[in-house]
Amino acid sequence: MRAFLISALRSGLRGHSFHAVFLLGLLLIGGAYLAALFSPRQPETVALDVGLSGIRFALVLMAVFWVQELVGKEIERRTTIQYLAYPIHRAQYILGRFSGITILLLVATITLALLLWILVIASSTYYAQSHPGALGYPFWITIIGVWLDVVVVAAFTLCIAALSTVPALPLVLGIAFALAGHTLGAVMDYLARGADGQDVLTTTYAPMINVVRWLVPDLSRLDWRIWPMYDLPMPSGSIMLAFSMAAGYVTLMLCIAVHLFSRREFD
Amino acid sequence: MPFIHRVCSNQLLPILLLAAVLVFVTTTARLEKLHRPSVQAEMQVALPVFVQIFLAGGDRFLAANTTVFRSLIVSTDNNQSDRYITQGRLQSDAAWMNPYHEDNYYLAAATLPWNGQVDAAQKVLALASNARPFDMLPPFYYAFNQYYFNQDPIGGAEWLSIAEQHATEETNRINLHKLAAKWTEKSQDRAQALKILNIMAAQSRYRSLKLKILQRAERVRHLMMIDAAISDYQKQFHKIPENLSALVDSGHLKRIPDDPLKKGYTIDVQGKAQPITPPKK
Repeated sequence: MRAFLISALRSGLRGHSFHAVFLLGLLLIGGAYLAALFSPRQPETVALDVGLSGIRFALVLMAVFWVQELVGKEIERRTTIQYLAYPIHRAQYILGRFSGITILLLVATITLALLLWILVIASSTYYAQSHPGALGYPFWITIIGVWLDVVVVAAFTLCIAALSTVPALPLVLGIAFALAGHTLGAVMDYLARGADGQDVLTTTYAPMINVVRWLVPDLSRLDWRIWPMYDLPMPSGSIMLAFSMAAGYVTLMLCIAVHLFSRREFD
Repeated sequence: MPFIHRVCSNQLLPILLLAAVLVFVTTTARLEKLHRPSVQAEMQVALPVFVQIFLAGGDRFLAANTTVFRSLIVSTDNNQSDRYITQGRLQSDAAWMNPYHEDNYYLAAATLPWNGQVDAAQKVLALASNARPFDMLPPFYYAFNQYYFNQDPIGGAEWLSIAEQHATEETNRINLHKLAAKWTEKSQDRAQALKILNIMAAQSRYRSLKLKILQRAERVRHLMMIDAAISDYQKQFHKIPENLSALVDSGHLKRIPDDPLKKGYTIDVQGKAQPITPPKK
């Protein structure tokens, strides 16, 4: 398993798609600085807000591309068959790769977050907003939430890669899953508040959403940016609950991935 | 491919290059003169909140930021009242997506009620007030709108007491308390409106928005000036002047002030100066 982890780290950092997406992440953080210039009253908060959105977007792409390159493409190129010729359990391959991707994502998250942190401090130098945010530990706890969010996306994409025979399927479904997971919370909230009196929307979508919420996790629960942005702590227990929900879903996805991959027959 | 080979080897390449430069330069020059659709056209469309969040990749905070930026840019260059209906809806949506957003409630307070969108402004301010217990401004602006636009001093005073709970400084708490007491006794007060607009302008870092607020303040100053002239006219002639020219003719007003928002002023049936509002569609 350790060998698969180390090789995942090496290949992951060498990949062209990683470099492209990392560059995109840097550009998005730069965009956050420009967005702050638009804000009449809270440049620091806007820089942080837009920057966190940018980091999350770039990391989702990184997670999906890494799974695609380190598992999907290896299956497609039949490199995996060579690995599996050794006397190892197939779970070691899946878990090794997943651990490697998780560490890669952690390094990328910390690097981008550090850049954003510096940029937010820089954006607060030309205008002292009346209600400054909390850039200490609340910021870093929020960053852990962002990392957990993309780890969930990576676990789901890995699960798809373990069974998929279509090369681009993990990529497409991984992105669709992230989009659905991020939108789900807002949609449930909107419907729960009566959808601005649009009864048709409530009656049509509420039953569907009730099913979807048991299949796709509500990833917006891992978004704790209100804390660093407005210095308003999250409701007690909500972070722990969201953390447990994410851990549970990741474990579930890994179990399914291991099961599917163990039963998979390679020609 | 043989064609490309022929072009490159038969010295046609420089001619092609020259032709391309010519086409590029002429089209760019012509395009510059072409009428560009106004940015305000964006404000004619407000997408459903679902779609706004989906387009932002499921990120409600990003969707809120995009909407606020859109409203911010357009509101500083917008003199058409029907566009404010869309802006009001967009800002209400942004407040639902991120009720904590300071720029959103500030922009709503600074532009919407002054353009007939009092309900939308109050919705944004109520959500912000609930989300930001550390900030006295959203309930304060809500109170002011209730007092000045909805002519409900009692409702305004109630919201002032919420602002008082949000205020962190003792001086602010005392002043808000005094003001609440005063409001329960008074009705529409233009001097108060002028004071609040000047405070809002002073707090704005965004130059064009600041200018816009100062224009509103200028307008209120003009209305106060005309009100004073009407009052003097009534004392002398015991009737409401027919129009503004009557005030100039009688010498109570030096000249009709130029409305910075280019709509002009009129006198209503109660004998109070009002800005001219375009007929509702």
